[in-house]
Amino acid sequence: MTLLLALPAGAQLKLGESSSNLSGTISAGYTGDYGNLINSDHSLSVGGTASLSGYYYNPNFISYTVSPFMNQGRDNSSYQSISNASGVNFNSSIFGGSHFPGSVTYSKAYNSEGNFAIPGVANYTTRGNSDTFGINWAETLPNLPSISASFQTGSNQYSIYGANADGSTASHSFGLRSSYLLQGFNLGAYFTDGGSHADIPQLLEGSTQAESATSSNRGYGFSVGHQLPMHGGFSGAFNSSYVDSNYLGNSYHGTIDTVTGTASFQPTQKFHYSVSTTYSDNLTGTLYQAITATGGVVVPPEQGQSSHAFDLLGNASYSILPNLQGLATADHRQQSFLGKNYSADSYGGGVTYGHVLFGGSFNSALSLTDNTSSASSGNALGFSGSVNYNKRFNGWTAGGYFSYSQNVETLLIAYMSSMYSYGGTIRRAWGEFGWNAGASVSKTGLTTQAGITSSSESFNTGIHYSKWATLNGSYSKSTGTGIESGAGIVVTSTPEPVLGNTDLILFGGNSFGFGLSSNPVRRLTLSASYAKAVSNSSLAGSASESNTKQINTFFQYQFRKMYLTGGYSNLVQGFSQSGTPPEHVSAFFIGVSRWFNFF
Amino acid sequence: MPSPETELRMRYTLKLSTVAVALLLTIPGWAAKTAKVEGAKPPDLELEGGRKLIYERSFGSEREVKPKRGFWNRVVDVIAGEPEFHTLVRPYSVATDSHGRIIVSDPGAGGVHIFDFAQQKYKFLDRREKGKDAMLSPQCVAVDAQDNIYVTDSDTGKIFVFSASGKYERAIGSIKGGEGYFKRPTGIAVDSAAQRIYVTDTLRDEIFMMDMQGSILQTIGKNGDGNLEFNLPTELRLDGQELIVVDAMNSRVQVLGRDGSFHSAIGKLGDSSGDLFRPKGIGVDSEDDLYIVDGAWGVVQVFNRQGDLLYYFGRRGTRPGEFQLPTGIFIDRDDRIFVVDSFNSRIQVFHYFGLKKPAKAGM
Repeated sequence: MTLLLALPAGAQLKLGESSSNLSGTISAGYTGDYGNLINSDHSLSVGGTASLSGYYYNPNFISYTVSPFMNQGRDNSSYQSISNASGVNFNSSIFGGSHFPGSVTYSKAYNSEGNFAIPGVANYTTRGNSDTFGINWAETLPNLPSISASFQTGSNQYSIYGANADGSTASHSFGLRSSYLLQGFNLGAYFTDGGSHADIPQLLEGSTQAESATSSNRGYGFSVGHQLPMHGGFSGAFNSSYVDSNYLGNSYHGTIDTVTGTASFQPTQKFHYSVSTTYSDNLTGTLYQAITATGGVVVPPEQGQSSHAFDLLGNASYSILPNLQGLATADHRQQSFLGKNYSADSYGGGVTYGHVLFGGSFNSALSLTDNTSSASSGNALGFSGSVNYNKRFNGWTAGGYFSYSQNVETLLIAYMSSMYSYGGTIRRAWGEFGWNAGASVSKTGLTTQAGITSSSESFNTGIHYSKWATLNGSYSKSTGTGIESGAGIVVTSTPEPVLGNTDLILFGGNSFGFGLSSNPVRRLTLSASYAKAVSNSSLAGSASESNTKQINTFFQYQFRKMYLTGGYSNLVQGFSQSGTPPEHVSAFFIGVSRWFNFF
Repeated sequence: MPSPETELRMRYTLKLSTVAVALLLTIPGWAAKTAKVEGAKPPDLELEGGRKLIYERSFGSEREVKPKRGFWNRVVDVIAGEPEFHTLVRPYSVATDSHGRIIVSDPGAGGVHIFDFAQQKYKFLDRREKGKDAMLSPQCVAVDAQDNIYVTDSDTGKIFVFSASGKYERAIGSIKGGEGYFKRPTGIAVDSAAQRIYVTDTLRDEIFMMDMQGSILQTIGKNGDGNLEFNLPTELRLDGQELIVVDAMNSRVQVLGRDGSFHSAIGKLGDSSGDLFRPKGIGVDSEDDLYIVDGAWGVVQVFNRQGDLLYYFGRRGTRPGEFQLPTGIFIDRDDRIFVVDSFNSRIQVFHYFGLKKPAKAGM
């Protein structure tokens, strides 16, 4: 330490062709943590951060940044973890600016805070270890096919405070892409290979055991495009992917082949039209992939039933005025799914319009669609409209929006969705005093299946006076249906029977919080926050209630390159299905830190 | 206009003797040798009649105001680190007050630096984060007889007035709604005796004459290239009964009377010696000669009142005596010449030793 204190203000260190900079913060102080499920611990602690960056020969040749950190938490630094986390981040680039650029990234974190998500409300808190590694490389030689390759892998192990439940996720992916311009044809090809494994904590079902889900996928594809007369162009693509997955003892493996084609023309500056078509030989697999792509895990679909989808879509638009545009669409779809054949036709038109209105900006869009489907008798009128308006007046800045849609086509012909949303923002400053507020409300649902809806409301407001004080508050509420994932609940509007009743989670909750921050004098920062969330869920008849509450306070005073820092964090979190009482965790720190520019 | 290869050659005009010319011809070779030494001081310019221009020093940081720190300060430096010294970021204009304090506007830093080398003190005037009448892009600076500091803000369109101690006094040109009256105020000069403030509004191609409260008494000029017409005028300097205006995009300097009447014009667009390409700052020494900074060429050209080029100094570069995008210039009562070397983030100080004649400071 004495040696470090004696180090002079440094400069860049050059050694041969290499050049490096090292700076960092070393902190020491008194820290402690205690709770109802952990042993109390009070001790002197040492922590810090560092950043070593540099390059060899030239920043474009090889450059790197290594940033280790030790014992960093929200009570002793700006690192947002209730537990003192340690780890390292590394990134490097090679041959930047050349025809062979590449990069490598790596990160590792121990004892770091994470999130278990409940959509629309404050997340639940986890603690665990994680790591990621990635490498990218490309070849961009002129007049030759470009090639890019990437490999990413990562894993995360965590435990949820108050749930007596552990989980983990791991994934890897490899991608190879190439493109080439040959005789005016844009050619492209790709190959991907990846896999994932997740141990999903069954805390919503009341089990301490985690369920494993694994999946792997491999895909390849080709594309071609070329310009056409009348400022037009066409493109075509073939994609094939193979999926192999296993969850809750059910497995699925299948190949999904998709062919797409598009042709577009713009004969005049104002007129544009296009025709596109898509064919998939495995609609079930497409739907399943769409769900798993969000990270969600569901019971795989049954094997053996063929399905397919065909879509032919035509679009045309015409600019009647610079701020008024007319649109027309025609769409024909055919699907075979779960042993039934469906077909649907829709024809629609609409306008978009924008104008200055009462000194503000007004924009709107309106469309009508006539839908005929073999899944239902009679026609269904589809409607979609939106308006938004923004204006500044007498020092105020305000804006609002409203949108509504009814009978909008979904991925499946058998289902259509409807939604509405509205909201607004307003703000005003009086000298150094300012106020702002915002609100948004939305609801979506499937037209033909009751209960598959999601809704959310959120409100926020804040006031500030110069740098002296900033006070923010927020409230949010949400309900809906979702599926489990390694990172919490993921919202989905996919209905039964695509998803089984053991997959869909009904969730609801609300959360509120407020925060106060202040810089009463130069170099002094004070902050405090409080957040609380209450939620409930129901999965396969098993109901769970959960709550989380956090209090955080922090102060920091800077004197030159030294910081006097203190903080206190408190977390209370519990799940009714866990069988354990809510967990209380508190941590505090007071100490000093010093920033060094070593070289 | 000099090329970069011409080093620190002096070109004498009719006022200079052949002996001096012969002396100057020896300088390029000498300068070429000394230029190899990093940080070498440029040679003195020996001028006609025993006149001389010497390079004194440069500065760019608060730290240089008090370079020697005491024992306890050094102890605290080791424990807590050195203070965060203010440094010049992108200085634009410079002036000095009656106490020899050097006042530098710095749009890059968003404030005004006050260097007091005599008292070993420093102050930074900053109003970036003020909710009302924030100063965002301080452009040019002037000082009145009471050492009050006037700063134009090209961003907010206002003029900010600070007391000699640095206390904010008022904003001129602040209209209802917090907006500024001026479109892009740049040059400023204060006539304390007549209680007048002159401000260049570059985008309007006009000069406003105001009383000390900011009431507009007269508007001078319009867009054009004739007499009393401007094309993006910038810096102003008061000298005796004359108001000197840098008519930037007309590549000239116009000399007006304080009542706004036209007196003369100096300079024309070109790339030869005596021509102006991007005139920036203007200064006047004790012999009434005009010092015009050319930002593009990185030189200061010195003209007599008839428009004849007397000599020039500087070249593009980073070493002492060289400039990169120089902007403002100010000559104090002792004929110390302060040149704002903007891209090098420093002020370079030269000293002109002229005829023994009472000197005066520009305002």
